[in-house]
Amino acid sequence: MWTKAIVSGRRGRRSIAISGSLLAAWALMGAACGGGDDSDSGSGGDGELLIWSSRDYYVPPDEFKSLEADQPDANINWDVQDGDDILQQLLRMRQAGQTMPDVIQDDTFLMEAYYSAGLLQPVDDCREQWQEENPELYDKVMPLAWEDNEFDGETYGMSITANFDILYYNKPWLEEAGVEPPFETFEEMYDAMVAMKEARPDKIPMTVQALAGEGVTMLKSMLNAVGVPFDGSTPDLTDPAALYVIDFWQRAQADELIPPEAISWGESETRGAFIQQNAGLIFDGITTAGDFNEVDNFDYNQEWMTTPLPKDSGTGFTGNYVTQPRTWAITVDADDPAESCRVLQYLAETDNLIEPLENGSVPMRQTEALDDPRFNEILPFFSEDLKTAYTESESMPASQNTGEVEEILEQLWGEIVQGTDESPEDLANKYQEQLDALD
Amino acid sequence: MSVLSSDRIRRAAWRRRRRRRREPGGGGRWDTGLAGQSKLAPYLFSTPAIIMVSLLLAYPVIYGLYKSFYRADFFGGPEEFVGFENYSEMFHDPAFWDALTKSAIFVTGCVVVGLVLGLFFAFALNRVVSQLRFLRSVTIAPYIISNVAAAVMFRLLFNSDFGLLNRTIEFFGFDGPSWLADPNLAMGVVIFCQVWTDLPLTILLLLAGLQTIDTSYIDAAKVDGATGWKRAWHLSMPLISPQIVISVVWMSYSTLTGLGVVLALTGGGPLKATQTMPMEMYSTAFTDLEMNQALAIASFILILNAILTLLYVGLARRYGTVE
Repeated sequence: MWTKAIVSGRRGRRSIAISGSLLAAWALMGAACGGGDDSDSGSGGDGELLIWSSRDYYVPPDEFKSLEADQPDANINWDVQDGDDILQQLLRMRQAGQTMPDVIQDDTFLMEAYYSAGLLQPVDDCREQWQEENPELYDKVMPLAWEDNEFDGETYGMSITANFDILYYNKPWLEEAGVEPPFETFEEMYDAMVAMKEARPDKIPMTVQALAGEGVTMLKSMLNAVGVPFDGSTPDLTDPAALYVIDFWQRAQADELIPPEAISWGESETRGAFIQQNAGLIFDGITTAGDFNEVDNFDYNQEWMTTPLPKDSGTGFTGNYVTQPRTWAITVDADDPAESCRVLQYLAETDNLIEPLENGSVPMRQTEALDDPRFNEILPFFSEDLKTAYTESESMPASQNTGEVEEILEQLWGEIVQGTDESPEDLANKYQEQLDALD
Repeated sequence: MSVLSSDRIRRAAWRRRRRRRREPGGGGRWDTGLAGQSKLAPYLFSTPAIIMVSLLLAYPVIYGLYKSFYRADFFGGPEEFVGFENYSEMFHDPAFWDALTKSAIFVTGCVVVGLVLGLFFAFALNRVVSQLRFLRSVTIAPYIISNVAAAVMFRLLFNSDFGLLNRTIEFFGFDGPSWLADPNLAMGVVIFCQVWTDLPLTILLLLAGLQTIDTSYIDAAKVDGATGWKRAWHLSMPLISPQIVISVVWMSYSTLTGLGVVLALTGGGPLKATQTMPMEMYSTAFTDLEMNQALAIASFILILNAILTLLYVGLARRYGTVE
């Protein structure tokens, strides 16, 4: 009898323990899965504002504190999401019913995808509000900063910063070759490469990267620089200007002015070749100048200098400089767009554009900041030629299928770099067919 | 003696269970097993694990499979059910067949090279003298290095201009090849790097198998005059065949789904020479932003993996090495 009671009691306790464990497991899993509107990942109302930056160096050094001080009701939180996946994260958050951040930053070429997915709200009212509240600052923002983000007649963000790829050259080598940049035309640049090769046959006149997945900025920049027409992000490779570009690089490959090994080179190898003074020219972003300058015995104005890419082929084709901007945008979950709009204003202030340059940020589309003496102190490599080129520049053509287009252009670029017997026309037709087959 | 006793116990338990089932009300929900435990208890104790596995593993897989039947006109846009259209397009895409071919070469290369090297090192480490036994633990070192970090290291090592390998070749007066720029060599380098990262686990599995072999078998073979090679081929290898099968399944899985090494080493190049299926899936998802189509490739990889695993186990059973 007693034994039965004990056993039954034990069983009862066991059942309770099992049920308790199961409940605890469910509760833990529920907590782990999260969800709901009160999640930490999103912003709440009542002056709560969450800002996501795609890189730490875009965050102003005072970390939004002065903005917070100006708006006593605002509680601003920020985070850096540098995994290049903010778009995917926002989609996931929306699907999970979480609140998205109020303000985000990402590559401008992705903005059409954000817009199509319905993740952003227009900032036209914000622009009006800004123009009324602070017309002086508003007028300093270059129109391109807004134009890049216009879809169906509405503006969806502000591209206040834009990276700019430039030519870096080995100063003693070009002096030795009797060439003085800037190059007026691509043919002049080609002659300089030939002269460098003749003077140093064992060195590389121009280092390029063609590793799959590393992008084709060089090719795309040159296509723009000689005026190749683009439909969205798709160039017309059969255009005579595009044929000139293909022919230019095929000649360079045949004359051993670029290394065929570059098919496996990413930016590290490419930059390494320039830093080690194995290469005379490199086309790279302006921020790389800071890295070059940190290398011992490789000083700006001594070993290397900068110059813009030409925008004239020298054979009758002319075009534009292009930059790669990043956009600050307000998401549909921002429940106080006026407050988010003040974030955009704050980010466009001269100090908040100049000071981040120290941390590796890029030039800005704001006239006062570009003319600020601190700009030249921080980026002495950004010569007047480059500044003029930058202010004249357009944005790299983009559309929703930018990634697919780049993948095809990478194949074309890889084939050119590795060497092929096909004529420029054959190559152009082959890859144009693939580009045309994209949705 | 012990065999006989356990047989008796099993028979007694079976008779007891049968009797209980026949009794009215027997075999109820709280019926107890042989050890006096509730039959339901094991299921209840397993429930949290089953729920966790279902949520963390089964749910994403099933959800991915489900989503592969949908498509959005643009990234993040509304999805519509398209049935097998994503699969149909995948099978009609030459890039998919190219990636499948590359994956076949990659997996075959990795499994063959990995198994041969794994066996070689396992036999060697099994025979090392006690002073060198620390080598067994050292073997695991590559496994604790991230495969992406290893791939970056190999990219530097195989650099045709300043890589250590070509520098060494140049030291002997020859020109080193363009390892990563030549499409054929690039695949070889990728296989080598993948094998390097996966090899420790293979070695440990095979070594563990070798150490479970009863030494009396080896001694008997020695007495019969079997040479070292014969002992290894006719005795040790059949006895460690379960571990060999597990190694092959593991390597096959690891290489068929492996992305990190290829992505960091060649990015699928040069000229798509190393564009394996995971790379194709990756670029479809994150370059082309076509998530549903990428899920179709992922589902195909999953099914292929399952088929290959069944094939390996089936082959092993057929040849009588694994029960």
